Amino acid sequence: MSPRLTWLVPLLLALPATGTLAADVSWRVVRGDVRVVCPLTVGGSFEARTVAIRGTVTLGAPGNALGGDLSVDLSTLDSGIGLRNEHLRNSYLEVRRGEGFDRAVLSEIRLGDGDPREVQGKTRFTGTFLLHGTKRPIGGPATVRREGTTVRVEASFPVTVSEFGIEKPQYLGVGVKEQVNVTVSFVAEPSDGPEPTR
Amino acid sequence: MRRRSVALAALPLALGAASLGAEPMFLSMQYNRCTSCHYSPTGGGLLTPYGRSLSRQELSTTGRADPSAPPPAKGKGEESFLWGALGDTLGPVNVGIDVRLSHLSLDLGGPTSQSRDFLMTADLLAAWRAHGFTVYGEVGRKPPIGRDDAGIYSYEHWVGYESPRGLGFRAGRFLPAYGVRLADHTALTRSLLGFDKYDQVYALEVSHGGERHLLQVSVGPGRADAIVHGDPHSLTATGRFEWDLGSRTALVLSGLYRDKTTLVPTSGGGGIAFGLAPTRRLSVWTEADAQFRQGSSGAPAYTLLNETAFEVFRGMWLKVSPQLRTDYGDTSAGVFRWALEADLLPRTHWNLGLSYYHDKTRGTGFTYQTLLAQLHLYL
Repeated sequence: MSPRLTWLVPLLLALPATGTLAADVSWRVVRGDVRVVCPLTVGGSFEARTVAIRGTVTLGAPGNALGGDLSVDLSTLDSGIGLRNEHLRNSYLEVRRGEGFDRAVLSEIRLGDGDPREVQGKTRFTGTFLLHGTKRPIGGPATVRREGTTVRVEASFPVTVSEFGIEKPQYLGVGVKEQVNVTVSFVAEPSDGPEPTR
Repeated sequence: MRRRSVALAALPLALGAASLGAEPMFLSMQYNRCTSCHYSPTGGGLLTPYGRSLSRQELSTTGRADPSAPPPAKGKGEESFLWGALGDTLGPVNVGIDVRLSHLSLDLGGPTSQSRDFLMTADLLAAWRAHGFTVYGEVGRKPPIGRDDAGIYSYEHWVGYESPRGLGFRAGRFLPAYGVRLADHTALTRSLLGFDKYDQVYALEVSHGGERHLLQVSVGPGRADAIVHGDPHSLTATGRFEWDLGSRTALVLSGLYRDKTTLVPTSGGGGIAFGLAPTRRLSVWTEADAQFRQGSSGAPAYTLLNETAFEVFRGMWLKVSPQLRTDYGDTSAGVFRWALEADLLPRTHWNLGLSYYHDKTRGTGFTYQTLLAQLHLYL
């Protein structure tokens, strides 16, 4: 490279940090995980995790919720031991009841207060969460980072199990407390159309 | 001769009282609190109904029942007392029997090796729990140690309460909270602090537990065994703080203080332990302690221990534990131990254990080996 052009390198590297996400472009989750931390009534906690997160969201105009949704296959939630998995999936989440129960779905997502295309770094989000056949509004902190052509998102929110009609988890004297905490991390890439503007 | 007497001192340790094992390795299954499975906040002893269920469903090789089935009626089920033969006859009282048949071989080299079969433990344990209160007791056979004959004894008996907000107390005779309570009661982290055999205290314990922390502080008049026998005893205080960095990661800080008696000077210690379970089959605990004793000049005595436990398959655990203990005032002296253990839990209530210890006295290079085979029945 010509010495005269070397100044272009840091400039090009700096550009993505000041860019915005393209409007009306769909972003598809390519990988991610969901971790649910469940505090126990006897102290301590356990974590259930799955990587079965799917979905596509579309950035719309400022003030509008994102189109599309993110969903998680609850039958893959893994807490590390079989007995707990069985109870978690089938006794409390009742995934065998099928539609509305077998997946958790986050929709009507709103990122921050401004233009979702310009969200970068720490922000807050709200959305509608479908769990156990019940839809409730949820919200919490989120972090959005763009890495090349992809975007990395981490968001967390509390879930009060009774608000979703889930029976109080309790087995032989050991139970899960009323509120669990969900953390969603994923990487998304444009599913079609142009790449994010730079 | 002196070296042999040092090694022989290990024998009563191996023969000493061993309560039902606490198993910190279950951090790998995201159980970072003893009270998930045991009545005692410091672990070991009688299993709760949940602990019994887990011992069948997740620990035994062949005992697992259909996990989708509802739990058996109270007192019923293979995991219950005497395989559920008594049903709910005992009402709100939970009972257990702990028996350990043991074979011990101590190889000091040459003709001085010893080998014997004995009954290490034969205990009856009972607990009643309601409205946050727990009344707990154990009575059993004390094996002959040194000049003491075998007899009936109670190592642990206490009453405790824990509020829904996690504030608790306990009063009575129990093993105070310190560091990581390994199932192996001869672990060097326990022996130098005096937590290896008849080492419970009579004390009052106050605790506070939450989702990510557990604080336990105990104060009492001293070693329970000394109090029972009218031997010199003095104020003993312990403190333990566990901070759960995650559901598979824990940091533990501990402290111990023992006031002087007419026989021993003031002593104490402090330590830090870290537990990590990178996968559901692997747990790694490391503990470092420093002990001081009034009148001992120079460096404290240090103990460093690691225990790595791996579940080869359901019901088969292998443990490797390098352990180092230095002497008071001389960090180049002391003992280095390799402890290897295989634990097989073929069926609910059955536990076969094989432990091998290789101890080397630092400085002299004198070594001795101990082999302990146990059939452990927890009924």
